[in-house]
Amino acid sequence: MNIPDHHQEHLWHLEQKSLYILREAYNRFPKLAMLWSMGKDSTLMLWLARKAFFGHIPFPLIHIDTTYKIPEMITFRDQLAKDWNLKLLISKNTDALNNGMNSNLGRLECCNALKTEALQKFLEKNHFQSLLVAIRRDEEGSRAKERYFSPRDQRFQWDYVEQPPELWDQYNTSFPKETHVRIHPILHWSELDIWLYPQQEKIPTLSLYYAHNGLRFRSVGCAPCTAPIQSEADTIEKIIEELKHTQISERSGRAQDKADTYAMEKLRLKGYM
Amino acid sequence: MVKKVVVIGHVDHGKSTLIGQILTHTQQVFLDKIHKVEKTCRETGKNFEFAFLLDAFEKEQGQGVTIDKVEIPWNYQGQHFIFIDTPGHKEFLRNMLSGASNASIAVILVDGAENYLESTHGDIFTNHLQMIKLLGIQNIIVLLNKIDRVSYEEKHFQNNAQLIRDIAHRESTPLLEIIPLSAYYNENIFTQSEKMPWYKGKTFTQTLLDINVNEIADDKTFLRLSLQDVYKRSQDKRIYIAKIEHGVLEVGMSLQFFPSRSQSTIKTVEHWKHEDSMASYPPGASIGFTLTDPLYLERGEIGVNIGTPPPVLTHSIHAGILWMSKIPMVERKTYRIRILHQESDCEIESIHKMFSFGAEVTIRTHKEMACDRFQEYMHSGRFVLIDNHAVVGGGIILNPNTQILKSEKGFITPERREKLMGHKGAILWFTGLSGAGKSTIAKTLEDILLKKGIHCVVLDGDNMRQGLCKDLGFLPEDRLENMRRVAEVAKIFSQNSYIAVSALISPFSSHRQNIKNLCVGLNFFEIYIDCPIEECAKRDPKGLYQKSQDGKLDFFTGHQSDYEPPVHPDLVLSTLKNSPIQCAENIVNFLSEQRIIP
Repeated sequence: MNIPDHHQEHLWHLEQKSLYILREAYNRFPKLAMLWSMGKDSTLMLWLARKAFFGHIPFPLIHIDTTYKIPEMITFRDQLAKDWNLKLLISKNTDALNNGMNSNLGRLECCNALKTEALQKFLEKNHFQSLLVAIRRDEEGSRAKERYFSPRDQRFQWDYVEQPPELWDQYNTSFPKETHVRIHPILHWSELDIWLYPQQEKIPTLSLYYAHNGLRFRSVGCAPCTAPIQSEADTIEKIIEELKHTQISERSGRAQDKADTYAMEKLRLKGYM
Repeated sequence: MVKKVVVIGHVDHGKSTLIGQILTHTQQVFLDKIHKVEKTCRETGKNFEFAFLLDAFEKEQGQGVTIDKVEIPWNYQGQHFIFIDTPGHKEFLRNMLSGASNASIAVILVDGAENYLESTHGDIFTNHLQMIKLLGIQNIIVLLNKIDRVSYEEKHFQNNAQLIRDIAHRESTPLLEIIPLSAYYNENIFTQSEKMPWYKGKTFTQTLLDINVNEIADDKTFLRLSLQDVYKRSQDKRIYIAKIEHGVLEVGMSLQFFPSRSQSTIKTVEHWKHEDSMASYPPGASIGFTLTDPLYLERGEIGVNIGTPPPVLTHSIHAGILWMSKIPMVERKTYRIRILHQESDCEIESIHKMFSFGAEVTIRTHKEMACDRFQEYMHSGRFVLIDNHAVVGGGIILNPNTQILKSEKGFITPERREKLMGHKGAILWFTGLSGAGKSTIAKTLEDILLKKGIHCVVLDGDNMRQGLCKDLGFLPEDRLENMRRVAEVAKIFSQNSYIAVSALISPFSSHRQNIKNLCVGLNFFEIYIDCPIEECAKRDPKGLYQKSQDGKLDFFTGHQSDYEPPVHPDLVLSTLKNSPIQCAENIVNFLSEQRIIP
């Protein structure tokens, strides 16, 4: 063994497993795409995909643009797409937007229309059967119950009671043609890992995550539904220190999670990420 | 190395409470999550439920059950753990196995306040042990929870612990510790409980800390890499994508691939970032390499270091299977088997032994497969079975190459034999309570048929248990094995144009379904000998009901274990209303309607 210290060994195992899953997805699903929100998780997954495929990602990235994103995110997206030579597709639910959909009409309704529906329509139109999504088990209860390869029906519905078995690392990748498959390559990473790894690899991250005037974002989404937390962590090292001692969960600044006790479950049953 | 700990146990024995207690005690659960659970419990008028910290779904919290497994990280004294909480309900078995399959430590949680043998918990415990064994988990801890409910009494613990030791011994599965504890009151989890000064063993967390799960390549295992994909970069540059399963890989190593048997040498290991390069690649590595000869290799090949023992190439595998589908396993049906990345169609050629959650079988694969014995190579020694896009079973390879058995066919065709005998063969599978009249009807029927010149044989439960089945008891899985043996004997008779009558209680519908599957293609009839339990108890020809009432029998159908009447039997005979002769005559008419006999 020549993996130096504990942290690096731990990250190496996480990384190798994710590389394996990314390659498995690419081998098994010809119509594959990756979801990128520019957040820390999906940007890390994007980095892993570059590693898995030796610098060139052989499938497109999809960004679901709700038009309510914080402007810095869009700048960041366009810059990386250019620097890294990414094949980026942008999807919007223009019908819902033209009808004036926004979070004042209901946070769950807004997420359903501008994210879930937008994605569903886009995948259908472009015939993508499977989607790489950067969710993690430790983020939230219903995500904790996910499989690495998770089948959804044509309408995106998630049947969490009848989830398929996933034994060892034998991932079942044989599904009926009409099944939509969500693949979760970083399901096993924790919030702390998601910061330790970019520190080691020097992966670019949104400046929103770093403290400005005593505030920073711990999780980013649409401007109206994302609140910053009080923090002095203005470097990656300080963020890591902060996370080691926090008593508050990661998505506490995300308003849609609080709209209802089972909000994320309800969103996710319908096909939310 | 992270220690993955799966927590298994029957419903309500306190799995989620245990993990919830550990997380709260070490302050590793977020405050806002605790507040959320407090709020939910207040709204629904419940006391604080530790379990809600883990059971996230509305359905789970509403019904108080865990539906799906969940993985919870936990750090303690510098070590990293992941607790895998699994559902205890039988219908969520798939989820339990998904959770358990990646663990290196298994914790079986048992309600220690219950009296062990007076319930069916002994069976459930046996099943859990067999499951853990088939998943290949070596470190097993048993926790006897809820000891507070029996006032922390030593004698109560010792009695249960002895029964558990007996079962573990019978299943030849060694246990690390049996610990008395209270998950709710935090006794014997972190510190030696003052309420149980008589307990001298380790606490639960100390046991976890002391286990060594280091599975990183020792020198004993040789290289096994599994080819996942090949990326063609140019005319003569192919990057072979593989996962290292056992041993280590180094540049310059000479490899041989199986099943193709082709050979070459590792030229480079490719990296996008130069810093990722390593001197040798240990198990778990997902790598891309090039070979000195651009071989044509397909996904699924297993690569080994030349000069070390190769995997076995085989068409016939002796295996232990955990069955996860609601549809029972069927002999001779085509399934898809997957070993690492190799796939082939296959059949379950024969079932040797059945357990509640699976079986020991011989699998015949259509393609030649490269694999190993599980005990030597964990990863290339296990497999999953797929049916109609779904994983229906998973298991371990006990012997990668069984002596291949061919079915020997006689000179006489079934048609010719039927002509010679004057009738067809059939299996009449009786089911009914003890005392319902199964044996009496069988004997009467035999008498009538033989007088008509029709060949008939009765396989009586008690008689079989004195010979062929004398090693078996009355636990559900012994009953199933007993039924399987009787069914195999009945099959031989039926294939030789005999009417074979089985007169066993056959209490469980799932077991009877298993038997039906064994007899596909034969004239198999399920006949329900119907009689109310009160009447059976009154008749009590063997005096069993009386003994059971006196507490002298532990597993007697009708009292402690339940009888499940068949839903769609081929024939129902009520012995309350009809005499044995009338019932036997009914069967004769039935056989004639079915054109088995003239």
